[in-house]
Amino acid sequence: MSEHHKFRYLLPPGNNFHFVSKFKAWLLMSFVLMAIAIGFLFVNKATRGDYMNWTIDFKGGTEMVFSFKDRATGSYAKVDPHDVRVALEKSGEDGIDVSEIEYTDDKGTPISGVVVKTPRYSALTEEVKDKAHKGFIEKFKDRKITRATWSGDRLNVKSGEPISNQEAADYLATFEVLATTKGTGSQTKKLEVKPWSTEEQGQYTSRDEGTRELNAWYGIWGIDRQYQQTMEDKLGKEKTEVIVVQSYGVGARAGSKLRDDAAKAIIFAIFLIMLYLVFRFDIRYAPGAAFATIHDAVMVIGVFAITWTEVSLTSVAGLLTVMGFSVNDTVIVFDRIRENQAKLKDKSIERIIDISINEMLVRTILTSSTVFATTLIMNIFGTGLVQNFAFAMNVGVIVGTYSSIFLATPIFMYITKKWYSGPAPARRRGMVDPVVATVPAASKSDDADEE
Amino acid sequence: MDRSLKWRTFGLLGVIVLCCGILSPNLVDNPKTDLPSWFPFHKQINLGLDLKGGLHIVYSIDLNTAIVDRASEIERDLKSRFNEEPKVNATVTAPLSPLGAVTVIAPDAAKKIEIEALVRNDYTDTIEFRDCEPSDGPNAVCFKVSTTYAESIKKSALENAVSTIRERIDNGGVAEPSVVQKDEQIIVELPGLDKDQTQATRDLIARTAKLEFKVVDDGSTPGVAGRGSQYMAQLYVHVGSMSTDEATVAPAINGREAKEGDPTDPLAQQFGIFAQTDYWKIDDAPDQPHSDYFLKAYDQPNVKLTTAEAIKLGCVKKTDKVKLAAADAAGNISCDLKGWQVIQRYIDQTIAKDAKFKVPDDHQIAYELEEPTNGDDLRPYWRSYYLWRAVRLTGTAVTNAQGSFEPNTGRAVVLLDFNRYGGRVFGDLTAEIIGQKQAIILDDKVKSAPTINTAIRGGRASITMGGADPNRQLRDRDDLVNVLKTGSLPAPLREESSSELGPTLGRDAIDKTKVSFGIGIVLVVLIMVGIYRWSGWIAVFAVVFHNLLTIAVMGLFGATLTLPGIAAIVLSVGMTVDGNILIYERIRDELLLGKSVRGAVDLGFSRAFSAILDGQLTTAAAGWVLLQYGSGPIKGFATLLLVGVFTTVTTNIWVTRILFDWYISRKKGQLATISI
Repeated sequence: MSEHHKFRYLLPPGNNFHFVSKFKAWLLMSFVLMAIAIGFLFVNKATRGDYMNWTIDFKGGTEMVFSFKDRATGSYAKVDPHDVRVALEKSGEDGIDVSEIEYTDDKGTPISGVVVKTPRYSALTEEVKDKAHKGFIEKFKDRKITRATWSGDRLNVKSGEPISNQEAADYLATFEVLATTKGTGSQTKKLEVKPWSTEEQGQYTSRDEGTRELNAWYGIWGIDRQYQQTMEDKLGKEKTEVIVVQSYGVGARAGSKLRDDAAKAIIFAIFLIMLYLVFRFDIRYAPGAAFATIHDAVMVIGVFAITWTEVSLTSVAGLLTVMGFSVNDTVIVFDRIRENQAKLKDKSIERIIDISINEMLVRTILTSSTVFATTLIMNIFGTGLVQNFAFAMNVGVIVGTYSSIFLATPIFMYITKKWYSGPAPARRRGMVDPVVATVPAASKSDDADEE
Repeated sequence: MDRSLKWRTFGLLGVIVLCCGILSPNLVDNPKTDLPSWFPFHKQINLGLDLKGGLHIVYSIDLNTAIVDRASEIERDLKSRFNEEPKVNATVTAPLSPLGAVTVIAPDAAKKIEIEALVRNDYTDTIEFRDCEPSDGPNAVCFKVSTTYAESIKKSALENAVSTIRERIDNGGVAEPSVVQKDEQIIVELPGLDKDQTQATRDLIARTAKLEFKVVDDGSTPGVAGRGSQYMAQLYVHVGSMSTDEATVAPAINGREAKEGDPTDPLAQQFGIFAQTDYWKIDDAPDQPHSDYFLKAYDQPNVKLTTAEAIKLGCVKKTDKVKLAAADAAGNISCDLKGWQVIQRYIDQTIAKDAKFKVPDDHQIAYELEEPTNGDDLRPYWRSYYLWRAVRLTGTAVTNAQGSFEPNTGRAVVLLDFNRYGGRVFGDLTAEIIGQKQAIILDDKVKSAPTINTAIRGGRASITMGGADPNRQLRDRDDLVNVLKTGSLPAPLREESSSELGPTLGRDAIDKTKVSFGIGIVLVVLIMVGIYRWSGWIAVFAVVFHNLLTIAVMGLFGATLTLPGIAAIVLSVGMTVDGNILIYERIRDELLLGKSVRGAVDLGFSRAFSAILDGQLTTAAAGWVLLQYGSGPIKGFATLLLVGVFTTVTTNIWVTRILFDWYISRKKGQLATISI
């Protein structure tokens, strides 16, 4: 009768690959890969200064508001945030967010500008900062400096005697700073101090009433100036004037509470999944599923670390999605193993697992490739955060599918062989009668529903 | 066709129509006006900051308050210390300048050295000595909160403020706001909610939630019930609602309201100020009635004020150049004044005319909003209270707050639990003032001023919500519980500016995402139809239905859609496709084993069922945990994941089945094969 059915096969039926025979090799490989992934976090810490490429969400940075004026008419102009993003990304900026903002000026005129958020705190390298800081204290020794600290692109100085803005500017101009972060790396510029307006002068210089100490801020042209120039270059200097409306350092959006909550939630979720598997399946299934899920999370984190991809709050959502996908995939493979255990009591556990995985192979490939294809498109066509999420999914689908077949099931097999001898009794409620399932010719049950 | 299929089909069509109905307000710009009023659904889907943008509000926080607070704490501490045996006859003050200053004036030079040593010993790192003003005399010990300590206070106050705001917004149910600190300011970004919701959230954020307990001065002395304080009595006479004779006689009228007429003071007439008397007594001492004078005023719209006055009363901000520019030729600005502002303005101007009306330093005037629930005149008004300035207990002593109802009146109340220290202080305080009124002050306004009938020991107190509208009472109560639980802000917040923020994701990114979604769907169609032919189309329909249902359910819950939420939808679409593939593969298996088409479909569904259910239940378990413990984007992800589990199971088990039943029942009799 089967010759009536003309299916389109992804794989010819009757495939019989041996998956679990080399499980020790797979396991070893996975451990090595996980070690590399974790190891890379520390490599990053050593070489790039941080474990991962955190975005402004996690470590704060600088927020700037820019507005644009048409040079020809002198009125405010609207610039597509997309152009701003492209301009800045081309100059080598990483992890920036660009969005529109509508605000009103002092006279109530509505203006539309853009907000640019970057994880960078300062245009200066640590080295330059350090040198300028030490030199500054040395240079103005006679002014009784009690404290001098950098905050972003600003130098905060507390001193007994005043240091004028001009003096500070003259001194700081002896230092050089990289004009852009990447690309045109060789280009350097003199450190330029921002002149304060009279209003700002009052705001940035104050005298402590108790100690009579002067507290002054010297701002240098920093990231805001760099971005402004990049934008003017890319958007056409003679056409558009870019104005820095505001520039300020901000703290992290995701506080420590969010981080702790996330870690706690994920750990509890894995425990609950294990508990569920213990009740619905049995205890042998739980460790494999948990290990596979953790493996996938570690691998995705590792790939993010190795490729130095930005980690934002959206990446966290991506990680959760990957874990969800992986657990679902594993549970569905387990379901088939459980069913086949009841059906094929005379077979060894290795055979049962191999048969089950082979039976599920078409489904596994099809599901994975569907999800992979959709997220790949998002990765290729999307920008910024969406691309970031899609990238996590692409990596996750591959490791998730791999871990269900090559990690979760072998661990289950290992536990079964070690602590349970022989095929386990079927525990499934409403167990399929093995005779019906294995000897279809003897089956009559399928006619029951026919009219 | 069998009957059950018919009913199921009707059900399916019903659900689809319902979903379309729920989602239809999203197709028009303004559902409230564009859709007919009989149409049951008017709510649009809330989109988060990343997809739609919202409000960008900059708050500045006066962190110096935190330092002044610390100085007055030291002041209180020293005062109580000098009061203990052996008593030290020194005066302690906390002058306003320089910041965080404390001055102790010792009685003689020997004591000065003693006090200096004590201060140095006890507050080593937190203070530094400063030069005294000449007016302080030779025996003054002057110091202030040290610069380093002040900076650490500021830093922790700012961090505390950020986390408090974050928690408040979270508890208020707004999805995924962004709260960051910037130097000494806090930037809050709220997703594009509707006007009311935005205003409610703003109110919630800006509430300092400074809770204080003070005592109303009704002129009581130990053992003698008060008949109104000296100060209020003279103000009462000045307003002149009744003659001086009557005014002195009035308090003797036991428990009955005197008939007070219109004021005689021209200024009071102009401002609409009334002077009245309040009477009460407690059950344990019915022969000891209390009475007190107070001023009352109604809200007044469109009052012309000079610019300076308008700024002082908080009607315009110094920085608000637009409003300041709106002043008329005489430099007057039109303001809507609250009753308490009217009273305050009246007292200020009266003091300016006659210095005897100056409020003594150890007292203050505070205001309460009264909303009468019975009587002829139901207009709400503001009344004054004459309080002892001393703070007897603050909100820091509150360990827990919960909402409840008053058993007798059914009014909403907030129950407070004090810590041990607070419980003791509250017990002593209430024992001391039996028969008098105690003012519960929230953010400088009297929330309620209950009469103390007996000493309240056991560390609990309650605040009764005012207001005639029970719904507002409830909302007020829940807001108060929220702010008391999350703690007070270390200093008042001031809104500096607010602007409209576009989607943080960027409009261009959203457009591109839409395009890639479209291509993704085409790919799913190609794969599914390519492999499963006609049955593939069933899967495609299932995915479309799944999305429709997911978004409609989300809209019903009023959840906010953000990027993490979309991530969860992508995951659940993947699982829906997976469910269909599981079913199809099973049907193929059964067909290959030689089953009839109907039998194979039946078996395919029943065998795939356990895999689908287990997969979805595990996902649901994980989603539930994430919802419980996660915050921000994790919560957003979890909500949509749980909705997705529900819709995936519904789609796979119910919708796909209906479509298959249609497919195989279109021909009577035996089907040889199906396109799968």
